[in-house]
Amino acid sequence: MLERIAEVGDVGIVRVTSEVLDASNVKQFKQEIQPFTARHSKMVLDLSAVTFLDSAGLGALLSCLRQVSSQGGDLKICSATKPVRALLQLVRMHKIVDILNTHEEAVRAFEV
Amino acid sequence: MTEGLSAGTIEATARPAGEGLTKIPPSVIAAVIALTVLPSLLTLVGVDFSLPVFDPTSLDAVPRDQVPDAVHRLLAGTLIHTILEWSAFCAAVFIAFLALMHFGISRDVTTPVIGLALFFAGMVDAFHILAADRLIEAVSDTSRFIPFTWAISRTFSAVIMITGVGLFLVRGPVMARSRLRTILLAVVAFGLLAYGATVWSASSPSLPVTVFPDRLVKRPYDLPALFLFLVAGLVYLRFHRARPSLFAHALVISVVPEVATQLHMVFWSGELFDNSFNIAHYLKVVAYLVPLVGLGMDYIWTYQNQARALSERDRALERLTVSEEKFSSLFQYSHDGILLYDRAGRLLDANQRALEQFGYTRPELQNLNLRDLHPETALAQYEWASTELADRGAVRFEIDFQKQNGDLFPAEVSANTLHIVGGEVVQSVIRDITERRKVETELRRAREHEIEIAGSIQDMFLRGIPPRNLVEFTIDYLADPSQRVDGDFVDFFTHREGCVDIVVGDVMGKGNAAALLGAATKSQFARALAALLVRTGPNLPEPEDIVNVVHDRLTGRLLALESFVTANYARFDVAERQLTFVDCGHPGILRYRALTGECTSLKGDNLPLGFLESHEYRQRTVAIEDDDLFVLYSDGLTEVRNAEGEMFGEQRLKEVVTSVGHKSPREVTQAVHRAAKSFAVAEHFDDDLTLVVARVGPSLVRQPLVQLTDQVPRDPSALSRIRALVADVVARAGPEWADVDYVTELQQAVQEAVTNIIHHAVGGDPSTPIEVVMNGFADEVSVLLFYEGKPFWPAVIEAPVVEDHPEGGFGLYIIEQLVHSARSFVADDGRSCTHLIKRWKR
Repeated sequence: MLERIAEVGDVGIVRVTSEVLDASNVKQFKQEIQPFTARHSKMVLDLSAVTFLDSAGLGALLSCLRQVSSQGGDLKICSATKPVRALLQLVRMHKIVDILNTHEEAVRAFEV
Repeated sequence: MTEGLSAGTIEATARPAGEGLTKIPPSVIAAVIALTVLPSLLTLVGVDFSLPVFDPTSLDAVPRDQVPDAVHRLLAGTLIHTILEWSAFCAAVFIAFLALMHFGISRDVTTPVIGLALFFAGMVDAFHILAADRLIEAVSDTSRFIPFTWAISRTFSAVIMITGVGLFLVRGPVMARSRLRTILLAVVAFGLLAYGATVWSASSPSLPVTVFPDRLVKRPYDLPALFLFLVAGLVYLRFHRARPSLFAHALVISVVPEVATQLHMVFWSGELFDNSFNIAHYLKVVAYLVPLVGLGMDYIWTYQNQARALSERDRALERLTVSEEKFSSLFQYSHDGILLYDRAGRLLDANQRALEQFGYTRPELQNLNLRDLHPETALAQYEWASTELADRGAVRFEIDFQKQNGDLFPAEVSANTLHIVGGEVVQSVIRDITERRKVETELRRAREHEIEIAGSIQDMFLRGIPPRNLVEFTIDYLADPSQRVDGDFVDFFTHREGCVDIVVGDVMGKGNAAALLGAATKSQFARALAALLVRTGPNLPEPEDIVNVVHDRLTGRLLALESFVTANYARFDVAERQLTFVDCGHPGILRYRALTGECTSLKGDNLPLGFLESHEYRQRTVAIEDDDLFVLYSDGLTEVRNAEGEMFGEQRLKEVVTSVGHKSPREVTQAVHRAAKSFAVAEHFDDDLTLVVARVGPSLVRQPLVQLTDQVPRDPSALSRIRALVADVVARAGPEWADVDYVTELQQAVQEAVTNIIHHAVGGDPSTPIEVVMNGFADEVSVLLFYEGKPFWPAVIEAPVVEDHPEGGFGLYIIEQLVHSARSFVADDGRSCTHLIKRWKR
């Protein structure tokens, strides 16, 4: 469900390939993101494919965030679809995680 | 009739001779004593009662033509002696005669027996004097014969009397036949013995000397008699004590002259016909006269009693005859039928009216039994009445009778047992109540008709019609009328979509007056609203303004009528989610919140209408939310009483509402009504029951346009199916503008709910599936998730602090944010249910 897109500098860009990130595949997500977070403390998650996110998915994102933070890094989200964006805004996640529109934006966001 | 209950039933009972007068009056006793002592006193003053003894030699000097005179003068002593003795004998005969007459009216055996004893004693005296006067053959010398036979007669007299009276004393006063016979035999025996002795001494040539003029005891052969008479005195006393009577007492008193007789003879009579001799003989007569007088007095007294009793009986008889005549006319001419019958039901008599009532003649009726007068259907009651009559002596009841021609008539019967001599008779007074029944039926019909009319009036003027098709407000209204017309009224004013005024009111009192006032008050509210609407234009007048107008118009009149009205004017502004109400002394509006399970009472603090002219009515506003359930009621509900006198009360109402508060208003009103009915002791409520239940929010009971159901397992694999369902239901039932975002939101909410169940539901079997029911309505979509386990929904869901990076805890918050209504409850089958509702709204 994850696919490595690119690495820009020390920022890793990972795309979630499944349409859904919810309780049914959260475990899988966490497993698959492991190596990625191990390698990059700066991560961009591309959620363009995800049309459905639930609280479990949120939790997964948060755990990812925690992980990279503990490494001194950060997480950024890009290309969130409308429902995902809505949910993220609902839970005010956008306050702690930047939500950008493109990869470039996301990467640039790290430089700031 | 009068012959049956004749006065012959009263018998005259004579009183025994012993009753009443049992002692000789003291004056008589004094007279006797005086008579006894008088001769002695006269002797003391020089009177001499002696008479010469016949001495033939004194005739020698008398010329021949004077001899008969001289002879008579010489015989004076004998003649006087004869007279005295014969008098005594006659007295004895009279006593015997009188005793028999006395027995004839007193039936007391003692009297004739003693009389007979006295008679035999007298007989001996007769023989004695007959012999002394040579009227019967006598050989012996007179001078010896007379004293000797005197002594015999005296002794035997005493013995006879002692025997005769004494034997009555043996073994108490009860008379046995054998004793009576014994006494009679003894007395007769002694009498005969005395006679025999006299005859023997008459024919015996040589008798002993019995007079010793020179001694102190001049006639020793009289001594035994003296003592015997004293003994007799004691016996008489005992006898008198045992059987008190005048006669007995007279016997006692007779001892005085008897003893005096003996004293004179024993100590003072030394010669034939001397002073003491004549006094003694005189005293003997007195001694006989005393019991004669006593017996005579007894007889007269008994006779007089008898006469008195007889005349009393006559008087009683007369009185009875008079009352019988009275009774007879009452009986015969009474307006009600009267029957007389015996215990077995045999008819003894009937009065004229009864004959008319039943159509029988008197002889026909007297051949019947009381039973025959009742139809089959009345027999059970007849039995009951007979038992009651036997137990209590009287009974009053209603029963049907049957005439001779078979017709029936209802009657009120009053039966009494009469106790008369000769047995018991039952008297039944029968009152035909056919007319009365007719009147009663008519009255009852009139009353029922009046109640019907009153019910129609109530329907027309006091009830209201709740608006049914409000989108976000569902109302149900229940009015259960009491037996009588009441003063409860209800009205609904629908202003616009989502704003409804509900008025409930209760007029003090019952009946038509209360109903009229209720109708008047209701119309006043409508008038006030209309009048104010004109003034306030597009805006609605405030409830308190409306109520104050009503108050201005009504309170004065209510005060004059000494009545008042409690009411609640409640405006439900569903659009603004506000409830504004004016509580005028009415029971509070109950609000139930399913989310929290709270049931509270919303109250104001205004007075009822009609209390105080100067009162200003104020409204109160509270916020209302979806799924709030409101209950407006009047005190007819809370004042329903059970068998113990307890009231249903607000607390119980709250409990009922809490238990069904999540259901539709119709279900709630029905549950409350059921609860009140099962609580109440009576069939009908005493007071009108008025109940208005309203729920804010989408109706729960509308038919969905689309319903999709599924059963999903309790694990994450179910989630995609659920999402598909949601998409489906929105596609089918949702409005055109329902876009993907909408679907997603709903999907997210439902998914969170399902995840919640999967991860957090406790108390159920996790292997059991979740039943999903999705209803697409015109205005919303409703998702029900049934599962086994405990429901839960926290009272407050706070947004989780995302900075804390919690991995969970977002779910409930998300749900709350994405749908309009979310709650959890227990379904009828025991499963828990999470219920989400999302309205179609842009």
